[in-house]
Amino acid sequence: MKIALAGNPNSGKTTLYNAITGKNEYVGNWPGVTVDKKEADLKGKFNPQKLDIRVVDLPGAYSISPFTGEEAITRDFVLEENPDVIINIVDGANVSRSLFFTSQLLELGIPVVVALNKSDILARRGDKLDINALKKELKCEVVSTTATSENGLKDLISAVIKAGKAAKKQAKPKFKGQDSENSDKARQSFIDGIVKRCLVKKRDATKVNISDKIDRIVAHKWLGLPIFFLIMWAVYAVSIGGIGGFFTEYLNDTLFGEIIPNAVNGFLEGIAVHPLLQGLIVDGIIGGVGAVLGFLPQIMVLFFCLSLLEDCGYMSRVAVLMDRFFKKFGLSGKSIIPMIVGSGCAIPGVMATRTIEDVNQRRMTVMLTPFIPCGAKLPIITLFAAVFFPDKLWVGPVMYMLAIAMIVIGGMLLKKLFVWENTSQFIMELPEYKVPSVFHAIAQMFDKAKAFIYKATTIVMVCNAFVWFAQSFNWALQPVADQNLSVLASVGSLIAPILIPLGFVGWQLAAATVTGFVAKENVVGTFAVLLAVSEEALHLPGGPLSQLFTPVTAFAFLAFNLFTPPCFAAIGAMNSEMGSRKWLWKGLAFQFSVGYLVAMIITHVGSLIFEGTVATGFVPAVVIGIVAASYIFYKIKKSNTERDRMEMAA
Amino acid sequence: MSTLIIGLIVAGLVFIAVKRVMHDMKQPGCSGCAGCSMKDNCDSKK
Repeated sequence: MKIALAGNPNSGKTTLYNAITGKNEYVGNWPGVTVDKKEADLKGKFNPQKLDIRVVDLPGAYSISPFTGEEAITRDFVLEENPDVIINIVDGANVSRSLFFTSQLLELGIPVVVALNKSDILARRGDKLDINALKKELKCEVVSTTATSENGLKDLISAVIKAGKAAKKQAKPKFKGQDSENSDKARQSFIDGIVKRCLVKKRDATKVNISDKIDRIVAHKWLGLPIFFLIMWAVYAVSIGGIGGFFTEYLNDTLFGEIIPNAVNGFLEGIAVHPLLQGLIVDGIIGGVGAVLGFLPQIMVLFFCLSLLEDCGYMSRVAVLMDRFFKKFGLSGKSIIPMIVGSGCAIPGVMATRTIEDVNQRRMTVMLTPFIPCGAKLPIITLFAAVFFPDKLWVGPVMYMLAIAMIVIGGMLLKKLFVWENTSQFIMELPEYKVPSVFHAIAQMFDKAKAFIYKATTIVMVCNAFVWFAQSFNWALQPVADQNLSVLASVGSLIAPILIPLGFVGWQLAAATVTGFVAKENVVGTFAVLLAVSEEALHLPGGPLSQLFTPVTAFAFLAFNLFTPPCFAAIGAMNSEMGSRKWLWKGLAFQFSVGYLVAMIITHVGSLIFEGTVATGFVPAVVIGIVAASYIFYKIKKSNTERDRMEMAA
Repeated sequence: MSTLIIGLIVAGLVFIAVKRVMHDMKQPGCSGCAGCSMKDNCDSKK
């Protein structure tokens, strides 16, 4: 038996799916989190007869006629894959709007069971819904549920199994004007009638409630941004400097700094292992992987805090707040959703752009989403903050602010550089504020931790083993005492000249940049291997890293890593969401140019202001600056001409 | 002898890691990052 879960966005489909299948798929308190269908078997607890039941979670849809890519996935599935039963999740907090889609599902003839979800919100508001009356009106089974607490789920599943076994054709709703041109209007009138007969509202929707009062402050047009900055600062204070920082310090200084390397060194020396192999294990693998894993506590606490913010409904307000700025340069307010998702990992962030209807806005968002610091970039930010800006908690939040500023500036540039058409408006449904679930936040935190460990023990380990090998041997595969004679030095030296205008001098920086394109965490691991120091020394303020950077160039290096193209996997996601290889290359060129130019400006302006000197590479930087400005000017002029030509033709 | 044994163990570990990386790279949109809506297809779970 195949059961499809269908309903409006943010009605709680994935929460219900997780509850009845035992999965732990990503859920968020905003519309458009699920952008692809997912399948799993029904959990044994709900399936005592051990029937073969497959549950399919579908992306949210407001109507059977799709506007967006993910709505089309839902439409195609229910129309083409013939599920045995559809569980239609109706948002108890928005019954009228949800029933529009319900009425369309009922017309398909497939048995439908309505799960009246979020019944706790309905009860809290004091509203009453006559379920028996609703059953009669819709001619299908209706079960009251609260997916978060699993209330009513057993009743729901037994009703679904019963409907699936009976395999009776679903009775279609009949209303006046069903086949007319204005059928949508007639359908809404039909729904309004049902709601009027079944729902008794106690709360006066025109009255200002607590949620509205909070919104007047946190979503205020002037106060909103400073509040967002303060909240992000507090999150960083707790995760980077507070409890996360405490455990990271232990991992870096003690566990990966002393205990493990000393124990492994002692053991390998005891059994007389060759020093080169010992170097590979201790300096290459343990040094590189340990340098990345040391940040695990900070990552975990950060994502725990972000998950709480998201679950309580605050992040949806951030989306509304940003819409003011975004719409000025032709982006949709919806673009903020991929960017918030991208703060965890750029890949799901890029995939979340599927919810944007307009292809131009979608492409712009795909290009701009990787600018947000993802989990993989955090170790680089934390390492550089510890070495060059010790005890200063502003570095992390400033990176977010810089990212937002570059998204706005980048968006303006993109709009001017290319010829776009902008059509859609941003409408976002704000969920009510709620007490965030600590259980959910812990689950999210462990999910991120698992992924972080997985990456550290696969791609980061492979890269660090390679980096160690390349810095220990020359092209004749003979061990070298001087790193400057190694394979890595000769390869890095080929790339290093490109980085000189940015004030980044040395093949080591070029090597770290290249490994960073494979996975951003590699930057930290590569420095640990190249500098061949213990974790403690790597993180020391003024430690060996300061031989390669000044505080200004260190900040520029952070910006360079933040804005240049993301890791390979994220580029793969960009390719599939752009829908065109030409646009992928345009996007990558744009990201590289932004990263390069921003780092160049920070280095040279920063050196003049804070160090009172001209940084290395000043002359080539001026030449590149002039060429870039001329190109941008030429491109904008060309696009304006093209736009004028199109207007004339129209 | 000890170098050979430890070398084989390390080579085995690196080989497994390379194999998983290669496998992941064949699946676009998944690098074991979790948090996305494709987790069932993700190699980190296999």
